[in-house]
Amino acid sequence: MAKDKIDQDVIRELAQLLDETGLTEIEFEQGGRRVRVARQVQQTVISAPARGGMPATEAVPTAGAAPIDPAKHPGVVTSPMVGTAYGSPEPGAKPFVEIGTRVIAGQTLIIIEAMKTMNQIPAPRAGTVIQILIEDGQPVEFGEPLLILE
Amino acid sequence: MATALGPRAASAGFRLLSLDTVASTNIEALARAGEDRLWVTAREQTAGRGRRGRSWASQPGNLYASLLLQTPAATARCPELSFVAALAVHDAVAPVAARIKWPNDLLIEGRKFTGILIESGRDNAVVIGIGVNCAHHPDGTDYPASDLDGRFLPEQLFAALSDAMVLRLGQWQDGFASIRADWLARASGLGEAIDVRLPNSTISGLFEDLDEAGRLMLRLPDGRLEPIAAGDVFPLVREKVTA
Repeated sequence: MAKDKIDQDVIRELAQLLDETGLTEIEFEQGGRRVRVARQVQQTVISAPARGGMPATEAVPTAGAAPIDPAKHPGVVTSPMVGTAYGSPEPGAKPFVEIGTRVIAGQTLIIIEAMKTMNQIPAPRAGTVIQILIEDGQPVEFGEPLLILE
Repeated sequence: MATALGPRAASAGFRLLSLDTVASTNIEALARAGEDRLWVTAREQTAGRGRRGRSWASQPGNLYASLLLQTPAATARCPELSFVAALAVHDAVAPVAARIKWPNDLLIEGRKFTGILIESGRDNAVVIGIGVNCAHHPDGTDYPASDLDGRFLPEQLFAALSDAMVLRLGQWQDGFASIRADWLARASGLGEAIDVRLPNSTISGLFEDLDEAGRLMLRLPDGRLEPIAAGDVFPLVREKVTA
C-alpha cells in the first residue's frame, strides 16, 4: 500500500465487507498504515488517523444493512472467563491478530488475564479475523464476545 | 546437592526435568504441553519473565521451577491455581512468616521474594511458573524485593515445594472454598487501603475481600464494590492518605 495516499481499493473492499457482514466497524492495519471503516446510521465514515494532523474524513452513503449483534454471529469467539483482555503478548508488542489476519485452528487470538493467570484464547478453527470487539487491557466478563472469525 | 522431587511428589507420580541454563522454565514446560505433572527446574534463566513481559532476575542461587499440568479443571477455574500455588510456596518456606499479596506474590516484611506466573498453552496445558529468591534479589524493582537470606538452598526448597504442591492440589480438587479461606488467613493488606494499578489507570480503595472466583473486592471511595481480576496491588502511598 502506498504510504503517501489513501488506497481507495482497500477502503472499498472494507466498505463492501461491512455491507456483506452487517458489521458496524472494521479496523485494518498494514504496512504501518491503519484504516478504520465505521458505519453510523446508514453512513460509512472513513478515516486514516495514522497520518497525523487532520484526519481525512469522507462520508460515503451505503445501503445500510441493520447492524447485527456480534454475540449472535456464528463466528464469534467468547471469553471463557472473567478477566482482562490483551491483544498482544506484552505492552507495545505486535498484536496476536489484527483485522484481516488469517488464523489456523489453535492459534492464539487474545490473552485473558485473571489472577495473574495468562490464558491464551485459541482460534476454535481456521478463519479470517473480521472484527475485534475488545480494547487492549479491557475487563471482560464470562461469555463476552471477543472477536469474530469468518 | 542435586535437585530432586520430595517423597510425596515422587510417589504421586510427578516427574522432574532438572536443567542447568534455560531461557525460561515456563517456556521449557509449555514446549512439553501434552505431558502431565512434570516439574521443570533450572539453575539459572537467561530470559526469566513475569507478568506482561516483565523480566524476572534469574541468577544461580535462587529457585526457578515450573509445573506443567494437563487439564486440571475447566478453563474458568484455572486462575484459582494462583492461590493454590501461593499457598504451596507459603507451606514450603515455613517457618518463615510470609504474607501473600493478591493474588500470588509472597512477601517477607512487606517485600516480595516470590513471583508466580501461570500460563495456559495448547492442548489444555497449564504451566505454573514459580521463582523464589533464596539468596539474591534485584534492586530498583517496581515493588520492593527481598530474599530468604540463604535459609534454604534452591534444591531443599524445591523438594519441600513439590510435596506441598501435591497436598494443595489435592485440597483444590475438593473445591476452591477452603483454598480461598486459607489464602485469606495469610493475606497481606486485607482490610487496608491499597492502590491497584490497572492497564490504563490506578484505582484506590479498601481491600475488603476475595470473591468466590478469587477476584479482589475493592471498596471504592464512593461506596461501590469493584471486583478486580487483573492488576498490581500496592499499599496506598502515604501522600494520598494525608491529602
